[in-house]
Amino acid sequence: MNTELKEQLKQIVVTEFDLSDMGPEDIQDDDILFGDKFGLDSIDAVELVFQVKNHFGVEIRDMKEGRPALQSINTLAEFIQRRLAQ
Amino acid sequence: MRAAVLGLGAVGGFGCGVGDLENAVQNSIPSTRLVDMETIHGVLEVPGVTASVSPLEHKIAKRFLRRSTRFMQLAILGSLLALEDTGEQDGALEGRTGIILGTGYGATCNTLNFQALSPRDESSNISPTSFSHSVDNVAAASIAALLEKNTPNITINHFDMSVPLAFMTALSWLQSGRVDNVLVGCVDEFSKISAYHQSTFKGDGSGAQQCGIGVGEGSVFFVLAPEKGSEISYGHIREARTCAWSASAPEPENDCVYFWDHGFQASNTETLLRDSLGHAPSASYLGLYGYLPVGLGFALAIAALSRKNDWVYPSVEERGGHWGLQGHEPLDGRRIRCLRPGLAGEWGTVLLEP
Amino acid sequence: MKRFSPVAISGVGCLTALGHDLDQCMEAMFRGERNCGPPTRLSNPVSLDYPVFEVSPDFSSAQDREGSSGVRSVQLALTAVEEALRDARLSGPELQNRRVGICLGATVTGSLKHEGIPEAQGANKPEYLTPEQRFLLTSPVLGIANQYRASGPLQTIVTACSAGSDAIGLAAQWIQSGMCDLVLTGGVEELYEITYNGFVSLMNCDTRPCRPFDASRNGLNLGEGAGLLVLESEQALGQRGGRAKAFVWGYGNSSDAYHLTSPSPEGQGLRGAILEALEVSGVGPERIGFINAHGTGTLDNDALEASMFREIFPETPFFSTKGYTGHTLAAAGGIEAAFTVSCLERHHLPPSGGFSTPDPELPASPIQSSLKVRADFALSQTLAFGGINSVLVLGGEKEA
Repeated sequence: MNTELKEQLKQIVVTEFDLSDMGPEDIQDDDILFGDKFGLDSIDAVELVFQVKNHFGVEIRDMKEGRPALQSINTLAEFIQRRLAQ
Repeated sequence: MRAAVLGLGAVGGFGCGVGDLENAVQNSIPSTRLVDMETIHGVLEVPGVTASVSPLEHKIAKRFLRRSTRFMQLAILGSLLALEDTGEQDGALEGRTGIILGTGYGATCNTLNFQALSPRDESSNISPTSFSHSVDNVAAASIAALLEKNTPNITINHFDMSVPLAFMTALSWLQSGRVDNVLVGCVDEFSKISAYHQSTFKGDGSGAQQCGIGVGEGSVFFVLAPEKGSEISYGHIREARTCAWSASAPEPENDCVYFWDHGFQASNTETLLRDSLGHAPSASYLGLYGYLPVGLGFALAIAALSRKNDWVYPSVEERGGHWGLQGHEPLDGRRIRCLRPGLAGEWGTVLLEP
Repeated sequence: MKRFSPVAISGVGCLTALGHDLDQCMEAMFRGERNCGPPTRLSNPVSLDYPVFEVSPDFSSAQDREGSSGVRSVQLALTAVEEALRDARLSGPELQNRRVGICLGATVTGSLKHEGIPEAQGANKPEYLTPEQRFLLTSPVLGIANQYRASGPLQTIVTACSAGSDAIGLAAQWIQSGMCDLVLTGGVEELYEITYNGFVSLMNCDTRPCRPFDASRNGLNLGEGAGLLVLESEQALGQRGGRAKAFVWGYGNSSDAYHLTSPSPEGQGLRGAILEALEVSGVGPERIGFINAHGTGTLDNDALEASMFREIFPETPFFSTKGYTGHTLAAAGGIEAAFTVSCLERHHLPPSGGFSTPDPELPASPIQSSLKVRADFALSQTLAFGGINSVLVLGGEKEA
């Protein structure tokens, strides 16, 4: 699995969601992104979709597709890689 | 019905809190500095009056500030300062607290309204977070969320009349018993587009050589409750309204001093108001907070301090005018009418009494 | 809390994608017309996949008037005001002898665009405006005030999707306090690229025509338009022999204190606003004959409202008109108040726009066919970004 992609995603999460007391090293690959650890909500979810499109050109058209992809850094990286390979 | 001013919070170029505002007005400390501004024409230096929101870090949990904009932070800080100033434990207010906010530059003055000059134009591909922050009511909504107030909540943006309209609404809510008290205030960010135009207008593109009064920034909040007949050091608000110049011109009133606020550009209404009020004792403190559409809120805050200290302080202003109040003098029980001539032919006023 | 004394509505004006005046809009609604499609006037939309409800181009005598504003929001507002004044049987000059306030809901106090503003064009001028210019040149409130020389007060309410309802509620208080003889109030919205792109980025929009409360609903469509009411004091009405079409009986507003864009699932803000409106009107929930819901077509909004209707108004028919107009944001409260007044007059409710299949997960569903109802009172409610909920009680009769 692409470590560089995962690191990039972690950096996006920390920067775009203003998690100022956390660094990318505090996000584990399989942490639930929208659970209790990071305090993220529905706007952050759509923001992540937006950032993924802006950074990687990969579009998530609706949250049915988005929800499983946005579970964790792992699932998101997998989703992006799969899409880029198409 | 009059409203008692129970608490006052202010943040601006003069500092943070009533103490800093009091110090600035007692010592006539002008607040304009040179501010760097990044534009498509490069970094420009313009006169400006900017505030610091760093005191917020000590007042609320960081997680609440996550994703908040400067507009929201200024308003939250101003409102928290007002609540603290009431002396209530934890700043809590009993009963239903209405929240009313007035703004003139609004939530987008340095984003969407700055798009033609901004090196980072996001308008053609706006992010969901930026978009959700672009509605003017985002600040009042954040205050409600912080204070957990499921109560009436209104945001008014009628440019330079937002402050008198906000206070007019506050008085109406108290009178009807709709709420038990009101947190009413105003907020404007340092508007880069205004600062750019002001420095251009002065004929000095960089603004570096001139440092008159700059475009201002800040937030002022008041806690108001129905008058209870007790002594209130900040005084009572008797009246707040706007009026078209064509409909009615103010006559000078006895036992009244006038605190003026106005915009950078002189308007016909300003000239007509000054002519109408003649040499009525007047002061203006624009140099302490800068030019901004909600400046009347700052004039009113200074009026409350004058009331509290029974003292009228010297003006800090750059416009020529009939300032009948020179130097320090006692307020001596006089009422203070805060006035703002508007750009669109209206004028707005809030009247503070003992 | 003091009782809200009913305020007369003497005229109504409205334009949306359905038509250029209120009757056109209502008749089109009853015919089931849904005039939506890809946006035609946005210069840089991020996508053309999300239908919008645009007002058709030839809408206004205001556009043809010499010296008229080129700003669409101003034109929309003036067109609706013209109709409302005609409906009230008032001429422009008659307003000048009265204390006339204007209180409108708008998304911003002036236009977000540069089109139609000569000061922002030209080879030698930068294509931007100062906030002062923007206000003076593009404020719909000022556009109306200048046209009719209104004495004021003048006010723009910017509570997003509730702005129109809030404007009407606050305007009614101006009449009740004796400050004004007459207030022009409601809401106006033009379709902006920024709002279109913003809602698309929020993933709130449907690629199909929206279906509020429907099992298949998948988001909102944006719309534009204006809804304006003439509110008048009894004395002013009496003096000129005017008549009231309906009355504003009550107004409630409450914040969710919860989230920037999602309504609180507990509904404490909406419940608070509904209960306040009912309390000050003195009208119990059982006397509300129908409800014009906010009904945007998003999963969360419609679920919350359905739950609230089940809780407080279990027997009351409700419908959403956003399936016919799109979500007109700050104009919604004004447009939907106009529709509600018309429904009270016609004793007839349109089917809920875009609805065909009840959602088994919702505890209540809107009306699927048109319904004849003789209602004394109705509710019109709007829920805004920032969690501001606003509710109007409107009634056909002066006496309860």
